[in-house]
Amino acid sequence: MTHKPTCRTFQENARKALDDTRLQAQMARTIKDGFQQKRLKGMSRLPEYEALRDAARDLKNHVLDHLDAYLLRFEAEVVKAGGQVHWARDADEARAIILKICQEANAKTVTKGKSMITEEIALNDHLAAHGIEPVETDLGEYIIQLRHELPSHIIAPALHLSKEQVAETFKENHTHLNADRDLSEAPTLLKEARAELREKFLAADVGITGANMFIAETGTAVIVTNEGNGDLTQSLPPVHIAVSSIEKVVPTLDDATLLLRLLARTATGQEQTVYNTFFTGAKRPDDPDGPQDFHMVLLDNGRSELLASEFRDILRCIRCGACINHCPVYGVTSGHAYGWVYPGPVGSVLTPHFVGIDEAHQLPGASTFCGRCEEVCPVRIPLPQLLRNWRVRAFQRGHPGGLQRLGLKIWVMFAKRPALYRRALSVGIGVLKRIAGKRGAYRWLPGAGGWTKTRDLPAPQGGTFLDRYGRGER
Amino acid sequence: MNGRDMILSRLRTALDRVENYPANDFRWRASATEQRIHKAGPVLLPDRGRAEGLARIELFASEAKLAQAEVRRLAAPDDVPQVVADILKSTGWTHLKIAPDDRLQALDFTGTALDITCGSGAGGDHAGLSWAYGAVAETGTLVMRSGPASPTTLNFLPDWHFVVLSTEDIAANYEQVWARLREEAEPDTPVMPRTINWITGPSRTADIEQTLLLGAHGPRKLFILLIDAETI
Amino acid sequence: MNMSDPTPPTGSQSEAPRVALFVTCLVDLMRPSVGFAALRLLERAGAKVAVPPGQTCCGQPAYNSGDLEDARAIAKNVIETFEAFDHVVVPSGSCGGMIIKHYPEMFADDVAWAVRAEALAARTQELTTYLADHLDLNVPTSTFDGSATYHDSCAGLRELGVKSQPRTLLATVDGLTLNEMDDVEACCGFGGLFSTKYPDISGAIVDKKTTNVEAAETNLLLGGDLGCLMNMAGKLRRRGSEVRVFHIAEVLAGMTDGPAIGEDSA
Repeated sequence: MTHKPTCRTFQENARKALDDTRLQAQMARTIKDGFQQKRLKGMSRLPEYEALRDAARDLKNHVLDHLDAYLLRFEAEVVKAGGQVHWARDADEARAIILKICQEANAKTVTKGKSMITEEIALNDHLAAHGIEPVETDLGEYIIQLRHELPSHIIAPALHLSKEQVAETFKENHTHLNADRDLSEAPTLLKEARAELREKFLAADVGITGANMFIAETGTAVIVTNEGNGDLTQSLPPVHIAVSSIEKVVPTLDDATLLLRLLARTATGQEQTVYNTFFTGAKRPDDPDGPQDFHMVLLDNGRSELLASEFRDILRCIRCGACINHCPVYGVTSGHAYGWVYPGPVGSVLTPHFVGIDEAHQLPGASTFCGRCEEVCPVRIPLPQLLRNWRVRAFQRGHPGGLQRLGLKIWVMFAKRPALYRRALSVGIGVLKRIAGKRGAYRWLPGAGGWTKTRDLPAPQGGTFLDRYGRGER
Repeated sequence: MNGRDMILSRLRTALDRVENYPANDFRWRASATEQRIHKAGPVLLPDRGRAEGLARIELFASEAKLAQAEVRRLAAPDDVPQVVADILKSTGWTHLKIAPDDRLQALDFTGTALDITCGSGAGGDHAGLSWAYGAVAETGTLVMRSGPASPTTLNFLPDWHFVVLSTEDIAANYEQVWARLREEAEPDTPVMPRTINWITGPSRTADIEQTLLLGAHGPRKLFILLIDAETI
Repeated sequence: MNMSDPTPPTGSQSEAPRVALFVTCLVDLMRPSVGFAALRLLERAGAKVAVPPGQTCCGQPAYNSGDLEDARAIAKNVIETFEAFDHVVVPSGSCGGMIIKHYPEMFADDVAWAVRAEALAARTQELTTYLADHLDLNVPTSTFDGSATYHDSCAGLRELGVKSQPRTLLATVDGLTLNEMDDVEACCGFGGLFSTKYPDISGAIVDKKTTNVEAAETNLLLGGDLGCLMNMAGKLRRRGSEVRVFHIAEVLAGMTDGPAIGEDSA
């Protein structure tokens, strides 16, 4: 089982976020004045930014065109460097592979670096169900793990929480500490988490990380972090498992470099994240530290289907979060409203694929098609077009249904018949104008309740343009 | 069919489609990938990655400072012990963990009050000292290469991390470091060590309300001890 | 004609370009004055303007609902209605984007229609883009005493690159100064049917937008897309704001005497 989706109730979920004034204020501050400004600053320091985006798009397209060949080359290089490669068709298979490795290592606790793929396959629940304690070590992931929540953002999992909420969570969970301690400031919270997790790092039997990309040339996988948790996760325990999805392969070290010049800059405005780690196979015989066993798990989970579909371009995604940070919808709903692992525009393209369009049809609909996601995407994914492609599939399956569909069909009927359109709508507009009288807008109008719930509806001026023009008015 | 074969077969079905021409033939794909890997090199080098000579060293230092690393210019390696001891004075820490690197082993700490041990990082280490494999001027990034002389854990476990860097090891860009690793690799052994760490500043997090805090899980402070290559 | 003129105009140069005005369904039904303003401006720019009576809607509601079949049928009607003209001008970035960007995509699998869609797309322009290219920018277009702020509608901005054109044109209005609002390129939350399908979210987005509008210290909001303008005008009215809302064409044509969008008649 993966996480149970709640995408059908997207609008009800969103309502909760909209009513949460504390969350709204925090979103405004961290998104517009935070992520968006940071990206602009980062871009301004690299004049070649736009050219790098083109190159990155072309690189990822090249990889997708040659995907199987690059994966095979990667596999061979990992083996040469003393590692093992496991191929997982779906989430079940990935969980089973990882559990087996952990069990063979007699693991009691595993530390985890931040990994959206392990969220996608709901790994933690599976390990816990088999008596193995998974410990998230990225601060944000650690906090939401304690709260039994999904991440609300792919690079800032606890973006939705206030420091007071974090303090409360720590007091509830770190019960061995003095209950009256002062946790009012963020640095104190960090200090406490650092101390708690330091013990976990040192005691872990297996370390599990994701991989932001992996390199066919050398069999190397890459993680980028700011905290250093991914490195302690992979260098201390005797076993390291890295989980990634098949589309993240790149040909060479230089190609990885190209993407790394864009990734942090676009995500957080940093030149680079503090730690970019390139790991290749298992520890070498004369290395003083590092894992004796290295396992790379390559997850498909339907990506090979996406490759052959009208959603192929989403496989270029490098998970920077820029589309999320610039989406006006995410900016007011936050991440949990989306009801599954990946929020925002990228999530609205991926989630229907994983949970089905019947469950998730609300997500591709939840876009104004403002196009800002495509504008900021470092690999130029045409996100609005991909969302529209999902709307086509949804429409074929009867979404939207009911009155919304009927209304659309009536409109289409007029739009296809100009003579009828002119006659009928000029009568209709006349009626609407009479209802409005001298008022310039309606506070409420039958059939327009959605609109007038939050704003007035401007009334028609009177007469249609085509009629008035036809009568000689200029 | 096992998972591997099934995934590869699905990929092949997707990629063998006519519209993927000319890569719709596996042999073509395999040979194109080998060629691309064989010709590995920079895709697009930004101007900032082209600094030379002294400018390269200055760029490294200024970018590293921008990432909140502290950069000290030392006249010679012999100055390392006293500089480290002086920096640590305010902390009250007396122990320094040193990487098993010959150049570090050769340093004379007898004049300092520091207690020196050598090896990998440990949970309680307050201060660690490593020697960098290289660095990248473009972003002020250190490049640490794991191996007998450079335990990876020492880059992460100490509270404060000191890294000696020779000016001649500062590359203008990342790609030069990859070229150096390829060049130095022994035949029939992997080009890459188990771990290459790019380190750009001290550990940090913004996971609580997007407030930037230094010292998440890795070192709270990063000191780069920059030494003119001619004195080494 | 002066016989000494060394380069007598050819036939095509001597004739004014034949421009068809696609008023868009929203302007047709809700605010005809935008159509009349566009007409006036196009004529001033030297065009011979026609308003084909067979026009209805560009098909955006169907296209963005995933109803490709109906969207194509509507697009075919638009193509047939407009393809005989030298230019097609649309006083809306999103309807313009529909014809210019999306019609060719829509017929990717139908070569005959794709050719016609491409041809129409190549001759179609959003109103401010056409005017910025064809009006004499040294001659004042109109007079308006006061300040205004201008909202960059998303489709015009990102699909068609409409950014400088409206500002260039507003600079020709005597007495008008432009106060740029914060986050001017942020979406207003309209999104066509999105505004009624996701009312709470749309309402929250337009709330943010109108906060920025009100902070721009002007009582005039302009834009190039009636949908966005109705959305913002409706929200401003609900907030009890004094800000008046007009389509840019109305200001350029000097047609701001009547009620603004959503404003009561005297």
